[in-house]
Amino acid sequence: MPQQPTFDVQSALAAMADYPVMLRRLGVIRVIEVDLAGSGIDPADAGPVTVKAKPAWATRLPDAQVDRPAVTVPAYLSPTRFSLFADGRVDAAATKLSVTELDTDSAGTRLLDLARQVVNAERENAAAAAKNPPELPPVSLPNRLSLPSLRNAGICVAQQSRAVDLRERLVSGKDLVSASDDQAVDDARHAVLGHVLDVWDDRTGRWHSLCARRGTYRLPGGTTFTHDDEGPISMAATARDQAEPDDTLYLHQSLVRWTGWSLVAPRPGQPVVTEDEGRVPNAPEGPGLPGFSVGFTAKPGSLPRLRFGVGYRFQLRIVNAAGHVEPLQPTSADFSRAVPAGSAPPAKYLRFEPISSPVVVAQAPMTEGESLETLVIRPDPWPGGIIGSILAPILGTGSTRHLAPPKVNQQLCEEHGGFDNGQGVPDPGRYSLIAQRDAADLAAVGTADPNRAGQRYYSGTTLPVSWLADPISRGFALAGLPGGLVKVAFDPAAGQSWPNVRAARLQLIDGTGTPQWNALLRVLTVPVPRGERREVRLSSYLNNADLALLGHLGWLADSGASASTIAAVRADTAAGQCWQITPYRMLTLVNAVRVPVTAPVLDTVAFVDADEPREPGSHRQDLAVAATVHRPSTGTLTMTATWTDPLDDPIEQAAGPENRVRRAIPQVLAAEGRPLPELTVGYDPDPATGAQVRFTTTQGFGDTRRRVVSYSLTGTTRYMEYFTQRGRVVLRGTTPTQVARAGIAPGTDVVRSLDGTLTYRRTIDYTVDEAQGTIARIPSGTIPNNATVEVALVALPVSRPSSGQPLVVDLPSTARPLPPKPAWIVPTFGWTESSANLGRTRTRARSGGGLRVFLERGWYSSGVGEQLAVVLADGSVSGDDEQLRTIVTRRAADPVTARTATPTEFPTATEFTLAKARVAGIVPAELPERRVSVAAHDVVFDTERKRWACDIVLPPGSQHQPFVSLVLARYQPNSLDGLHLSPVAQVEWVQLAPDRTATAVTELLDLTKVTVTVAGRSPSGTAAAPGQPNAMSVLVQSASGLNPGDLDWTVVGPADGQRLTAAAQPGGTTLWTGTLRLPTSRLLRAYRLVIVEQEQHAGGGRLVYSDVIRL
Amino acid sequence: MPFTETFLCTPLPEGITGTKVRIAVLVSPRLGGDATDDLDNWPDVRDWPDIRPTWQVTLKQGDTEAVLTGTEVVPAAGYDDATWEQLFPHTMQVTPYVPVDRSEARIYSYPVAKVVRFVKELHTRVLTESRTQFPTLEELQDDEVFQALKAALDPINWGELQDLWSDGPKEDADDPFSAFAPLEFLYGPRPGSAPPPLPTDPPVVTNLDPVTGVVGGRTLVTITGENFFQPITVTFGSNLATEVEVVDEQTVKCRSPRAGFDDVEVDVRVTTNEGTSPVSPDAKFTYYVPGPR
Repeated sequence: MPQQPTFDVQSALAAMADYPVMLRRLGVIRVIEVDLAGSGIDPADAGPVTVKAKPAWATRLPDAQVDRPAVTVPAYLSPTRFSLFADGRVDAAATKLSVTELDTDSAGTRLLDLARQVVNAERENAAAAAKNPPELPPVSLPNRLSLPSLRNAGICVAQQSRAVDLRERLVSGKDLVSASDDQAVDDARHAVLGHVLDVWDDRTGRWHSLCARRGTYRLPGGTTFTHDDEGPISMAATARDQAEPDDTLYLHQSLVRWTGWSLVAPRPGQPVVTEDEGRVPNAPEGPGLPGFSVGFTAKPGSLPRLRFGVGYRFQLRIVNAAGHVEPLQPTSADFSRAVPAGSAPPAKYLRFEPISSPVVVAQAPMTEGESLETLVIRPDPWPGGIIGSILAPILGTGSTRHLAPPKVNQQLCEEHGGFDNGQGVPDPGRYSLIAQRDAADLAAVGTADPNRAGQRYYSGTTLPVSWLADPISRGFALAGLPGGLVKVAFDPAAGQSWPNVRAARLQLIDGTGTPQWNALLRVLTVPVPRGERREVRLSSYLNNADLALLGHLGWLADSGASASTIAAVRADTAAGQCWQITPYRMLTLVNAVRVPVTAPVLDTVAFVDADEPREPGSHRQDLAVAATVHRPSTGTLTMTATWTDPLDDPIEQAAGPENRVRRAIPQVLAAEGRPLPELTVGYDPDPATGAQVRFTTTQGFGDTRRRVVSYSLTGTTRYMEYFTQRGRVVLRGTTPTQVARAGIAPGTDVVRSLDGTLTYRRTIDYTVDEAQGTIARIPSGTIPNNATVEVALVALPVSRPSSGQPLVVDLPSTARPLPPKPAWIVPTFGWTESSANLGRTRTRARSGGGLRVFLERGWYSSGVGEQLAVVLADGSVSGDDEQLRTIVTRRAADPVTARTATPTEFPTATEFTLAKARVAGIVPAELPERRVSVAAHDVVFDTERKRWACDIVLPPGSQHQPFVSLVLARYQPNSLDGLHLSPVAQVEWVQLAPDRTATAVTELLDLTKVTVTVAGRSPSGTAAAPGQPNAMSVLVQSASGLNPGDLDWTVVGPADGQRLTAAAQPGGTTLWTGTLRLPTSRLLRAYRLVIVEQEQHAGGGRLVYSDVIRL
Repeated sequence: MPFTETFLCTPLPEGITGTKVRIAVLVSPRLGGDATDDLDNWPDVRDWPDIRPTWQVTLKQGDTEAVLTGTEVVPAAGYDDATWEQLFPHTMQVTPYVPVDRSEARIYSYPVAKVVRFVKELHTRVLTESRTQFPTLEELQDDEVFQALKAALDPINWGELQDLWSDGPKEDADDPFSAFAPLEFLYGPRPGSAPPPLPTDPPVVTNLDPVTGVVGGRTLVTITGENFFQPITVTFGSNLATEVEVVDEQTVKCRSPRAGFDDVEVDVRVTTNEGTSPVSPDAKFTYYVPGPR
C-alpha cells in the first residue's frame, strides 16, 4: 500500500482547498463585509474594480517576523453582482474547449502501435538487407492491416493549447509564490480554485451539475456533519516523478471526462478486484490528518444520464478560491458559453465500441481436426472396407454450433438505455437481473470437452443467453456463401424483450443448395458439397435504427461524404459487413473427403520451351504440365515418371545389355524457393485456367542421355488432417504391430508417450512399414519394451491416381554420344539360291558390298535409340577440302586392276541399303561449322562375341571391288540440335566384294552334261593379264556318301578345273560360260560344281569369288 | 533565520446586497524557518482561529480608490478552534515553507482535439474505401496520417518537439505529425512493442585500461570506444572475455581471459550485431607472467 503522505499545517490546509466548508469552519476563509456607501465606489457604474483586504492584529511573534501580504484581485462590480468575473461561466469558445466521446489516449497510442509494427518490420528488414552478405527479410508484414478498434470512454471536454494557458498563469502568478509584500494580479484566474461542469441534454432539455455532492465530514473530536455543495474539479498539471519535480510538468488537455456519473463522488459499489490486494483503490479519505475523514456521494437526483444517441452540451462554472460558485440555472437556454455553442447542434454521444461477432459454442465434443471455428463433416469416413483395427474409428457425425449475441459489460448496456424504464430512468427492479447476468461466465457454459482441453460444448438444442448480450447485436450474419448474405435474428421469444434474446444454431450438412432456416428448431442448415470448403465471415448485424447510435457513421456524415457513399456505408453497416464496426470472425465449413472427388487428369506434359527443350549438357529436364483436377478436394499433386534405361556396362552387365525400369518423382518448381516433391493445389479456380492446374516440374537424371518417359499424376486429398485416427498400441520387442490394415499415408504417423510429453522419432525410436500398415519398436531407441504408446496416423487411401493412359515424352539427349570403338570389320555376303525346270536349272546369286562392323561395348552413351552412323559428305566436296575428307567416308577404285569406270569419291546416304535413317545437315563434332550427312544403322548385340555388330551394305554397283574408308560415329536421333553425332572413328580401308550370279543347267536326256554360266562385273585386266577379265574355273566334285560334310567331296576331272569362257556384255558386265562333262550320270552319284574366280597377278591369282552348286 | 510567518490574503468577492459587499478572504499561512520544528514556534498560526484581525479593504474603481474598514462576519458559534487544535497540535512537526516556482517548467502535453481529428480522418477514409476488407499495406503507407504516425515513432524527428517544449509551449499545430509525436513521446510503446535498437556502425575501440594483465586472466579491463550495444562479445586474441558489462555506448567493462599459448600481445576486439571493431594499436593488451611473491 502506498505510504500516506504526512501533512503539516501548511500542506494540510492546501489540501483542504477542495473542502471550503472546512476552511470556513476553521477560519482560514474569513468573510468580510464592507459598506460602500459614501466611499466613492458606485456599483451602478457596472464594470471592473480591484479589491484588496489586509488584516492587522497584535502578533504573537515579533511583528517583524510576521508578513501579511495582501493580494489585489480584479473583480466585477454591479448593483447585483460582486464577483471575480462578469459571468460566472467559462467562455468555452475563447478557452478553446472541445468535446469528444472517444478514448483519445487509447485511439492515438493504438494507432501508433500499428505504425510501430510496420516501422519495426521495415527497420529489421532494412538492417538485414544492409548486412554483408544481405540476409533475407526476417519479418514479413501482412498484405492487409486492420486499424485498432476505437473505444468509448464517456465524453471528454478538452482544452486546446492548454499548455500555453498554463504557462501564462505560471508566469503571471510567479510573484505570489514567495510574496512577503502586497501584490497585485491582473488576471482574476489566479483566484480561481477550479470549475464545476454542467451538462445539458436534449432529452430533458435541462442543465445538470456533475459536481453537486453531499459531503460527510468526520472531525477528530467525533463530530460529524454533512454539507451539500459543488465540488470543484481542479485542473492541475502533474510532475511525472520525483526526479524532475519543478521543471517538468505533464499536462493533459482533457479537463474532464464524464462517464455517466458524478465527477466528484465515486460510483456506488465496490471496485472489481483484478490485481493483488494491495492495489485495490480505496475510497478517498481526508488529507491524511488523524481523526479527519470525508466522504462524498452524488447529490441525489442531480445526475443526468449518459445514453447513446442523446445530444449533450457542457459548460464550466468557475469556483473561486474560497469555494464560491454561482448557482446553476437548470433551465437556462443560454448556450453562448457552452460547448458545443448554441450555434452548433449538441454533441451526440455515439458508440465507437465495436459490436463483436457472435459467441460460438459447440453442440458436441470436437472431432479430429475440428475447432470451434472449423466445422467438419465426413460423409464417407470409411470407404472400401478399411478396418481401423485397434485405432479409434472416425465417425461421420454432423457438426453444429450455437451462435449467440456477444457479452458486454453492464455500463455499455446502461448507455444503450437497456435498464431504463419508460421515463428513461434506470429501473431499480432490474438490479438483480443485472448483477446475475453481469456475473455470468461464458467460459463455464455447458460441459467440458473430453477431446479438447479448455473447450466446452452445450448439447442442448438452444443455448440460453444468460449474460448481458450486446443490445444492438441483432443477429448473426454469414457472408461468403454462394447464395449471398444470410442473416438470422437473435430475436426474443414472443412477449419477451432484451436481454431475454434467443441464440440460434448453425448446422453443416452434406449437399448443395442454399442455407435453410428452421424457425421451430432455430437452426440454420448450411449445405456444402462433398469435398468442398467454405470460408464464411460471421459477424453481428444491426437494425437500421441502431445506425444513428454509431460514432463511425457520425464521423462519416461530418466528413462531407456524398449521399450515395453514406447510403452504401449504412447498408454495409446494417448488414454487419463493416469490420471497423462489426468485426468478423472466420468460420470454416468443411465437407471432408478421404480421396479427391474425381481423379486428376493429366492433360499435357510439354517442354517449357519447345524451341529449346533442354539446356545443352544439362542433367535436368524441366517440363510444363497441365492437369485438370477437382480443386476443392485435391490438396496436392504428385507426378510420377516411369521409363526404361538400357544399360550396357561391360562389367555391370557382363552377359549383355539389360533394360531396367526406373521410377521417379519429378520436383515441382514453385514460383520461388526450393523445388518440392508435390504441388500444392489452390482451392479456388484459376482465373485463366479454371480447374486446370499448370505447373513446371524438374527432374534430375544424373546424365545427359535421351529418355522416353511416361508421366502420370496422383492427387491427394486436401482434407487428410480430418482423418487422423488415434489409439493405444503396445510395442513388444521388434515385432511389427499392424495399426492400419490398408496402409499408412506417408508421413502421417506420430507416436507419443501416453502422457503426451514425449514424441518419439521415426527411424530412431520406431520404424513404419507404410504399405503393411505396421509400426515396430527399435531396441536402441527410447521406447521401452512392452510400452504402451499413443499412435496417431492417417490410414490409406488418401489419394487417386490420374485416369487414362500416361503421357509419354521423348526427352532429347543434351550431349553428343561418345565416339564408337570399332573392334574389327569383316565383309559380308548375301546369298540367294533358286531352281527352275524341275531342278535342272539351279541359280545362286552372291551380293557383295557388305561389311559387318564389330564394336566394343558401352553402347547407349546418349541413351535409348543410339545408332551407328556412316558419316558422309553432305553434297559436293571441293577437291582441296582436306579437312572434311578426314571425317567423311570415302571410296576409291582398286589400283591393281584396270577399270572401265571410276567410283565417285564420296558415297551418298542412299547407297547404304541397310540404313534405317538418312539425315543430312548434321553438325560434326570435329568441324562444327561444317555439315555432314549420315546413314544411321541399328546395332545388335552379338552374344557370342560380346560385342555390338552392325551390318552395312554399300552395293558396289558398276564398280569392281572398290575400296571404302568408312568413317563411323554414334548417332542419337533425338538430341538437341547440333548434338546428334559423336566424334568420328576411322576404320581401315576395306574392299567391297563384287556381285555374282552363277547358273548350272543339266540336260533332260544327256545325264552327264552341265552348262555353267557366271555373270558379273569384272576388271578389264591386270598387269599380269592385260586386257583379260578375271579367270573363272569350275571344279567338279563328287561325294561317296560315306562321310558327312565337305570331307566327303573329292575332285573328279582336272584338279584346277575347267576354265570358263569370258565374254563382255553390252551392259558392262562379263558373262563366263562353259559346258562340263560328268564322269558318270548325275543320277548315279552326287555331284557338285565348285566355281572359283581369280584375279590374275604376277605372283598368282587372288580369289575374288567362289561358290558351290549342288546338282 | 528566525521563525517567520507569512499570511497571504487573497480577497474573493462574494456578492453584493444593496451597498454592502461581501469578500471572502482566503488566508494562506506560510511558515518560515531553518528546519523542521514544533508548531509552537509559529504561535500566530497555532492560534489562528482565535485571532480576530481588523480588516482594511481597498477597492478601486477606475481612478477612485476607497480604503474601508471591513467587518468580519464570524459564525455564530465562532471558528472551530477545538478541531484546529486537534488537527494541528502545538507539537506538530512543521517543515518550513519552500516556494516552488514553475513558471519556467517544461510543460509536456499533446493536442487531444488534433489527435481526434486525425484519428477521425483515417478511420473515416478507411470506412469509405476499405470497409469490407482491411486496407492494404500500400494504401496505408500512402495515407498522410499513417505517414505521420510512422514519422512520430522516430526519435530523430523529436528534435523539434524538444525545441518546442524548451522554448515554452506553443499553440496546437495543425498537422498530424505534431499531433502524434508528443503522444508517442509521452506514452511511448506499450510493453512488448518497443522498436529494435537503431542499426549503427560497427564498434571501435579507442582505449584500454589497463593495457597489461597476468597470463592467468581475470584482470578487470575498461574498454573505451564507440557503438557498444548489446548483444556484445569481447575477444582478447582468440579468447572470449568474461563478465562483460556494457556501461554505456562508449564503455564496456570485462575481465581478461586466460592467455592462449604463445599469447603475449593480443588484439582486443569488440563484436556487436553491426560488426567487429578493427585491429588497432590502441587496442593491444599485453600478458605478463607475474614475478615471485
